[in-house]
Amino acid sequence: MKFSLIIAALAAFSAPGCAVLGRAQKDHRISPERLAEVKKGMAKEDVTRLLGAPQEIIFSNKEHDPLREHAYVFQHATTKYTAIFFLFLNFGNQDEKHDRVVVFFDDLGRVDHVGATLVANTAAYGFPFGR
Amino acid sequence: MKADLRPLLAGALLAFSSGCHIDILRFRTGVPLDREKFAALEPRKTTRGEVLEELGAPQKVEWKSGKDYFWYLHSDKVDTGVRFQFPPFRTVAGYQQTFLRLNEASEDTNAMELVFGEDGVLERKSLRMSEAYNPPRQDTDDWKLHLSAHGDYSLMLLGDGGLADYDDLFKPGYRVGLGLGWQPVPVCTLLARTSYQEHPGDSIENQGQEISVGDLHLYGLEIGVRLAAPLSLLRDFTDYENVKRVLFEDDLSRSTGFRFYLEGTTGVMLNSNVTVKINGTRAGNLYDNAYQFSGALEAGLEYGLKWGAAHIGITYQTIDPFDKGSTRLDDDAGAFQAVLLGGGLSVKF
Repeated sequence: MKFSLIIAALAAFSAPGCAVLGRAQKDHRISPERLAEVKKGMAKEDVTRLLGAPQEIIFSNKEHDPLREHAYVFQHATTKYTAIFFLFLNFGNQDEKHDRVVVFFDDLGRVDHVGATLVANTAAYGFPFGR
Repeated sequence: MKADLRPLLAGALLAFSSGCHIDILRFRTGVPLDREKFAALEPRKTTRGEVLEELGAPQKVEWKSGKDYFWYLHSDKVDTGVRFQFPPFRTVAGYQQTFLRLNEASEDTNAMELVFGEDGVLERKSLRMSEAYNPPRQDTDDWKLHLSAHGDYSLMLLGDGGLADYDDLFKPGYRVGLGLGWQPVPVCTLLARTSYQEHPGDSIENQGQEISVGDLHLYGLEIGVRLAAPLSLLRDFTDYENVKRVLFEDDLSRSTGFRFYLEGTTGVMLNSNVTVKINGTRAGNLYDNAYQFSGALEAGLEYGLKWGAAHIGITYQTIDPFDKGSTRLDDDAGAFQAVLLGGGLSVKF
């Protein structure tokens, strides 16, 4: 067997891998259709019926009502991993994007404002270059 | 370089290079912040509802003393390093000790902070962004294809051709070829290339006889990778903000100007029959036609234009020993090596 074939075989053994693609998701997805049903003036129970239990509750610490629930936070994260191995040069990239909804309540406990950023599905595989 | 040493050196290089790794890592979280949207927010006028409508949900919310605090965050961490490991090859048990790692990391958390009063109106705003960071372009390309043509002239030939050194058996020749490249990012292009190479035969004196060697024709097919970076990277290599700006914020649509490159290819080469004459009488083939493994390393400069690039570089090429021919002369050759100087043009689309 030619020596170069031996070298090529050694190169194949020495390389730990070629490429790795991975995806991780955390928490439930937020349904845009259900989110669209959340309206100003809606009760908290209706919000949780549509979106489920919040991951986080922001309390307002007003003197006369220290436990007033100021906002509910709902979140979902998608992370995509890319790793590419050449013989001695390795590239790795991790892109994490979130779906995040914050529902604000007024003093009467009714929906006041809704802030939503639904971009988890834009997480991408790729090289660690560019914007 | 003696042919006997070359395989050993190549094996040693392979063994130690597999224990040496360069890692380029990046971790991004969240959506990049928009300076223009931040500038459009007006304290004492913009309401919380308008901000939520325009910017979406903040990453962090706090309520303190009657005020709402919003934070919009985008994290960008870059980690580059060199690892030296032993043993060079991973053991059966998967063990490989890192005995030296040189590392440089930078984590930027770009942040927009907004504070709203009890009436829900914006009281103040602030923005913190990395010097090297600019808003993402919407019109940048995901990848580019390159069509290239190149030509080289051989400066020297090295190696033992059996009968004599290759430098004595053949005259300087040339190489031409076409290539196709796929460029997913400005710094890296994957290549596939075909080439034709020719070295006219020469004549030598051997034991009182005139030996004339025929022309050597080589037909090649290779694949490889080209790494390129702007020259400005060399100017301020110790300034990590500049390194980030140059490497990570370069994009395919604006990749122009001078760049230095390093290219490695490997593949197969088909050589023609090389005839030999003794005192004008045909004496069989010095080498028979056959396929050999080949490899090349090239370094040089390229100038990028919007439609393509022009490059000039120097190449070290090595081809496995040619098959013995039918002649009674010494045709037990070593690896064929050449140093070539050349350039080329490419069109990208």
